[in-house]
Amino acid sequence: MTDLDQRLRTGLAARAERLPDLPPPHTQHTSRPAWRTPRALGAAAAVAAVVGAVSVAGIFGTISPQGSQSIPPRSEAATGFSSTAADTMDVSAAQYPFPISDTESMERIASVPLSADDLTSEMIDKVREVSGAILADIDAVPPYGATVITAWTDTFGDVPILKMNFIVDHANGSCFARAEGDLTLVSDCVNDTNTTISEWAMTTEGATDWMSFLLWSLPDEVVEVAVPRMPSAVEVAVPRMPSASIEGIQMVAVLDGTIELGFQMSGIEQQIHLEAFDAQGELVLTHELIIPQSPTLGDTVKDATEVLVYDADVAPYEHLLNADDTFLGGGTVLGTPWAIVGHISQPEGKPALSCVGVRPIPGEDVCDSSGHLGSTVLPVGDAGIVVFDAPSDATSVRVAFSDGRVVDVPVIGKDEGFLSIAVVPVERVGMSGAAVALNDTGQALFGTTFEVVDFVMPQG
Amino acid sequence: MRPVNTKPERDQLPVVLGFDGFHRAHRDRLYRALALATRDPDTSSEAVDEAMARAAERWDVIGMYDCPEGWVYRVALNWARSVFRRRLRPMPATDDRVWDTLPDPDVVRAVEHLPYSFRVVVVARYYLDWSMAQIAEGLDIPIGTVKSRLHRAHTRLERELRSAL
Repeated sequence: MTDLDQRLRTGLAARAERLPDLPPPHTQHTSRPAWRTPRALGAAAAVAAVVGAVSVAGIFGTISPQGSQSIPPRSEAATGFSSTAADTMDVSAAQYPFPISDTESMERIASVPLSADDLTSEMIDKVREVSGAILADIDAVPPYGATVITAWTDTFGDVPILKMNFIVDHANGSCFARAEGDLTLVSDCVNDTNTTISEWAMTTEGATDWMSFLLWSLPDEVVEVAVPRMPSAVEVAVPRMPSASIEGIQMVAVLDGTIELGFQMSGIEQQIHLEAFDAQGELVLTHELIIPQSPTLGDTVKDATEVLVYDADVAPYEHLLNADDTFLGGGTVLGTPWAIVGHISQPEGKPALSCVGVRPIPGEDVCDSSGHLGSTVLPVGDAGIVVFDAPSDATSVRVAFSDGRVVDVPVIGKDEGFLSIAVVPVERVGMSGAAVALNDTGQALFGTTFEVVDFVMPQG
Repeated sequence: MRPVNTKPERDQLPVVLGFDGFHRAHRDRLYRALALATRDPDTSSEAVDEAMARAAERWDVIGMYDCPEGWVYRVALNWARSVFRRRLRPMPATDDRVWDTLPDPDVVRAVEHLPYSFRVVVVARYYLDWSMAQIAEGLDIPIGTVKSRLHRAHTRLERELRSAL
């Protein structure tokens, strides 16, 4: 434990001790436990709506929110971190023909220590023995809700390796994970269509005996690629990329100090950050990967900014504004006007705050930035808008709707001394998508997802 | 003063922990964790009760999780954030009077200055004493994200603590 670790433990414990005590659960106005008070139970539905509305977009640009995210098996040997069965999969046992405990088998498969020396047919048999019934479904077309694992041997240059596929097909789409020999390669849910194969290379200066890589993109989701015992400066033949029908990360190879990454993705142009950690968990290098825009989306882009007017005359919006509002911009959605305003708020006993709000929506002002990209769906007339509160260094928010539309919305407010905010109209319930905040060089800062559950004003 | 950093031992709890038992064992600790993460004890008090209510309604499912307290922590954090956003209630800073009573105020102040997403993970790691896997499961984020945020949080904390010297 480092000195900082110890200081954090003792410091936070001391701070926690000085917090006001909670009221006892059975003494809050009623004889019911606190968790059954009307306040608690009444808000439960709203909590459920909020939680239900936020789902996770696929890591590799799958724009549609995919609901439950499968966290695939990871090898403890490869990552340096142990995983639990629960960590392995976030799925319901009822969705699978196998008892959920079989995820433990999957974990054991992924945790089989693999090396170039001991990877033999005996090892394959061992894997088969461990996996038992699951491997009985090798190469079978997965029925709905089934899990199929395939395993086979291959060579990686001169090195024999074991390859395994984990395919999890559930209500939210097919999730795919793959392990190849020493490598634990993982991808999130990917679609079978609208995919692009990409290859990337990076130099591995500072490489140590093993490294793990973190890839992340929308919405700040991480794929972990662990490469133990990196054979730096060893020439390894790099197989060609397979056909586009194969999903997920295809390969991580080392070629004379260069790591080749190949993976399939779908979605909009985005930036992927790559970080490499050494065995002690220290960051040894970072790299930016630019993913070009998928040609499958280019023709369907519709510029929704036609309904946004940022340099507008205030007159059409004047009736929406309060006396202390600074008009920042506005627009219409299905004919109903809305305006973004800045104003100074001074809660009782608090310092003045610079807030950004949307008129005519009351009480939804943003006065404190999370520093990330947040999204809130608000009703305007018969439709609504999505308000993004953006990090201060963001200049635009790129919004990708699940129907393929991609729009870039400028971030406003900051130049006038208010918080950064961006707004995009949404015309109907059920619209969803993902968004990423970009800085002035086009670098992705943070991402988020949104879904229009309804156009009802949140109760606050 | 009663201890607040005593993690309930699983083997001290009933084998099948009902919701009432879970509520008794974790409510106070989760409230304090939320207050550290959000810097707002009042909202944290409400948030933990709201999340507990939600857990109670679905205890047949939530109770089966390896780390149901992680689920409650996440839901309560989401609830608190929605309050901050919707009710024009900014995340407050710690009352100045508290600092004088802390044995190591610099490190607490540095944690408070962390971005929210980092702070949430740091509190889970160093106050709740959760493993990386528990944090990942509880916050529903990949373990790589946990590692990355902790690493970045460490870097920021070290920088701030150096500058505080």
